[in-house]
Amino acid sequence: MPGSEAKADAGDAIRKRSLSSAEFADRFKESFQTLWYIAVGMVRDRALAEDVVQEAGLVALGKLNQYEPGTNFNAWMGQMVRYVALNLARRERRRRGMPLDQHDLEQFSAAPETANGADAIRRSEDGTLHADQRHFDDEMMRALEEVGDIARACLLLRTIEGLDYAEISRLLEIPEGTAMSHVHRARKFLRTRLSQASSERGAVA
Amino acid sequence: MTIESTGERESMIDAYLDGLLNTEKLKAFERELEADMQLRTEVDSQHRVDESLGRLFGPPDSEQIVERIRRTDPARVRVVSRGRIYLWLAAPLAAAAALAFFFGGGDILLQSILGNRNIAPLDLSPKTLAAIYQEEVAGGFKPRMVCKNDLQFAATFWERFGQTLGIATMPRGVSAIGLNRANTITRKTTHILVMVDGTPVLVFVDRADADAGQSLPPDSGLNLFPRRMGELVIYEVSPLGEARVLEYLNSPEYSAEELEGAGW
Repeated sequence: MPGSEAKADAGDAIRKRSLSSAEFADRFKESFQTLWYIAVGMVRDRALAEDVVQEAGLVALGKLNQYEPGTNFNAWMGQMVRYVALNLARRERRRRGMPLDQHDLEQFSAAPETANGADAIRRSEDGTLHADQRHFDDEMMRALEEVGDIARACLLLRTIEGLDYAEISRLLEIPEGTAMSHVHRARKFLRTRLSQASSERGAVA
Repeated sequence: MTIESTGERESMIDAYLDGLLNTEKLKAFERELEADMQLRTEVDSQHRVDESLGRLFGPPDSEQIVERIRRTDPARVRVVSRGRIYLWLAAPLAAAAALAFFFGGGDILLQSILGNRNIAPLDLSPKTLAAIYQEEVAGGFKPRMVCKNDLQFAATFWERFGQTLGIATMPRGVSAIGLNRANTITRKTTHILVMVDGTPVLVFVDRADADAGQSLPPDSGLNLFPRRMGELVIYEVSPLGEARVLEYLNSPEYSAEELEGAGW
């Protein structure tokens, strides 16, 4: 039928057209928060995560013709972020003279090696933290070293960004059950570790 | 409902936290929370963990990064192996091996890079100010970035640190070569390469609120001259006995449109 042919043609035209750079920047801005949590979950360092997100944006900008409008933009960008974060992890491992096997990479937990460590902690608006909160956050950063990078990303996307497991699964290209398992194991591990640390300090968990 | 096993307890906690309990089970779980102090403690612990994660990893302001993306021409992005990115600066000038620049009028001629398309990868492993100085000198004291005018110079610092930076006319024998970046104070620390009467001098710039103080090894043969300018902290590192560049630094005023349009 003529009408449906016209619709099909229009649909094809939409699918074939790449995003303009302005459209990409708008979509990137909308996705920024989600991409941030993937990046900071994987590299566990705020300043490094900003570099990862920016670099991933630039990589994607150079590959705009590879993105199909109408498909999951966040999943496509999530790939870029993971790719860039993994490359930074490889460089970090090389710098430290450590092996590069896949298992190690998945378990990689970069220490936040900023010169003064200040980037690792985000302060409240008036610049202060309660001493108890500071201790707790310090313990949290230490405990997170033992959580794998993809597991950390799953945890942040679920806990802070509030994504469901289906979306996390699409973003990180892992099975939904795996995403759920990562979050549940990480929660349990952190609760237990931090409760132990609080008990040792004599504070009430 | 009574939670019998540890595994069942943990599953219920996760289902509760994930909002996956139906109405009936939710009410039952909440009754259990009131009655079981250990369960309540675990859930409270999880809330504390979640709050800490929010404090530690809440997202930054995206504006600067988004603006950088907006201002980048996709045609100038080259992605080589392993996802390294080089922004190819397509110099309009004819190929020339020598670098020509001067301050004074504030004009810095753009370095021709037609013979140098692949810039060496930026090493952002953490290093001290002294180490960076030694590396720059050993590497021939060559900048990674050369600004084409005062506006671009100011915009570079505005983009990175939220405040412009400028250099007033400097005397004969003192000339800025260009900029580089290294992970010293933070991963964004930018340093200006300056020649002072034939002596290499570095001027490191970053946000003051990110700086915990810097020092140099006593046997480095270098001196450290700090300065605070608005939101910026600036360190001149030099073998000379006095600061020779700091006094010429300022923070010029430009409109947001001018700064945003100053891109590479």
